[in-house]
Amino acid sequence: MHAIPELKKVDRWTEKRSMFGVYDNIGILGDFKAHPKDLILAPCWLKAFKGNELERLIRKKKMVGDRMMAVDRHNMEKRIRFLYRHFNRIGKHR
Amino acid sequence: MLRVSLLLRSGGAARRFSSSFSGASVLPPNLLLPSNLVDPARLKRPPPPADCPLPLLRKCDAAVPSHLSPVQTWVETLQRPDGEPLGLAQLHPDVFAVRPRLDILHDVERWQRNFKRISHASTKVRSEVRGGGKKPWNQKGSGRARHGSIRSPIWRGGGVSHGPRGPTSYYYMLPLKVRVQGLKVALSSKMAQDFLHIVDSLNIPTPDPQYLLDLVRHRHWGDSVLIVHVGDEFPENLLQATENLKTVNVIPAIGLNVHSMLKHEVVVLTLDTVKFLEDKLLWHDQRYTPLYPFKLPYADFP
Repeated sequence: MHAIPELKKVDRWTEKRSMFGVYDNIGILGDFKAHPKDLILAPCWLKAFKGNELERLIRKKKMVGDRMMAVDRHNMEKRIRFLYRHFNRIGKHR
Repeated sequence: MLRVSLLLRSGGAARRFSSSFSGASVLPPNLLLPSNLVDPARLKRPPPPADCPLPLLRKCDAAVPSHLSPVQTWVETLQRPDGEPLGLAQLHPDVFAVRPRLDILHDVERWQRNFKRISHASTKVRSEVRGGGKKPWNQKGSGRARHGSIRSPIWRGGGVSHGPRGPTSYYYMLPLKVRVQGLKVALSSKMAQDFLHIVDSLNIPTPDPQYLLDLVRHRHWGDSVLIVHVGDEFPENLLQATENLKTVNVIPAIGLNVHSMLKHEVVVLTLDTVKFLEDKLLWHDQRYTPLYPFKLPYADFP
C-alpha cells in the first residue's frame, strides 16, 4: 500500500493558464466599447448575474422556460414553489 | 566561501550551477529552492544616473505634478543579444510610481478569478431523483423503520438535501477606479522591483525561440516574460518565436491585466505601449463621474 500518495504533476504554463485574465480590462483600455461581462462563458440566464437559488431559477424560467423539456420544467417549477414557501414562510427571516 | 550563481527554471525542474571551485559539492537533484530567491546577477543593473550620456528617447506627454518627478528607465533593444541600453525614457509617476497597495492588487486578482466563474456542480434533490413516489412498506407492522420514499436523503441512491444546485455564478464588478488603480499598482510594483523593461520595438533578427531564451538568460531578466505591444500587427519573427514557448507570451496592450502581470515575472513594454497605457490610465484621475455609461457617446470622449 502506498501510504504517501504522489503529488499530482500540474503544468502551470498551459495555454489556458498562461493566458488567463487577458482582456479583462477591455473596457478601461479599449475605449469602453466592450465590457468584461461580455467575456463570460455562461448559460444565457447567468451572464453577468448573481443571485441565490430562487433568483436564479426565476430568471431561468423567464428567459429559457418556454424552451425547456417538460420534465425539467416541471421539476424547476416544483423547486421554485418549494423555495418560495421556504424563504417566505419558514424560519426567522421572512 | 563558495561563489555560486544559481539559475532558476520554472517548474523547479533541472538546475544549472557554475562554481569557481572544481571540487565543489554538487547540489542535490531534489533540492527545492524558494521561488522568490533573488538572483544576485540581476541586482547589478542600477537605475540610470543623472549624468548619463545616452539620449532621452521619451518624455512624459501628460503634465507631471510639480511635487513628483518622472521615473527614469533604460530603453533596451531586442535586435542585439547583448544588454547595452539604447537610451533613457521618462515615465509618468502617477502610473509607474504609485504606492504599492497590496490590498488593491489582492482585490483585483480575486475579482479576475471569480467574476467569470460559473460552477456547473449540480445535484438532484429527492423530488428530482427518478422514482420514489410510493411508500416502500406499510407504516406499521413490518418491523422495519418507517419510510415514505426510497429517494429520501438518508437512503443510498437518494437525493442530496443541501448540495450544489445547478450552474451558479460568482459575478461581481469592482468599481472602475479600483480596477484602474490595480493596473497602476501592478505596473509600479514591477517597476520598483526592476522587473519592467522598456524596449524600442519588437523586431527580432531570427524567428528562433532559442534566441529569445538566450537573450532572457543573458540579461538575467527572469523565468517568464510578458511582452505587451499596442496595435494589431506583431512582427512575424516574434510571433513565430513565441508560438511554442510556454513562459514567453505576447499580448496586445488591450489585454493587459493584473493576473498576467503577476503570473509572468518580467513585463516588457514598447515605447508606444507606454504612451497608450499612460494615456488610458491617467484619464481616470481627472474625469467627471459618468452620468450615463461610457459606452454611449460623449461629446468629448474619446
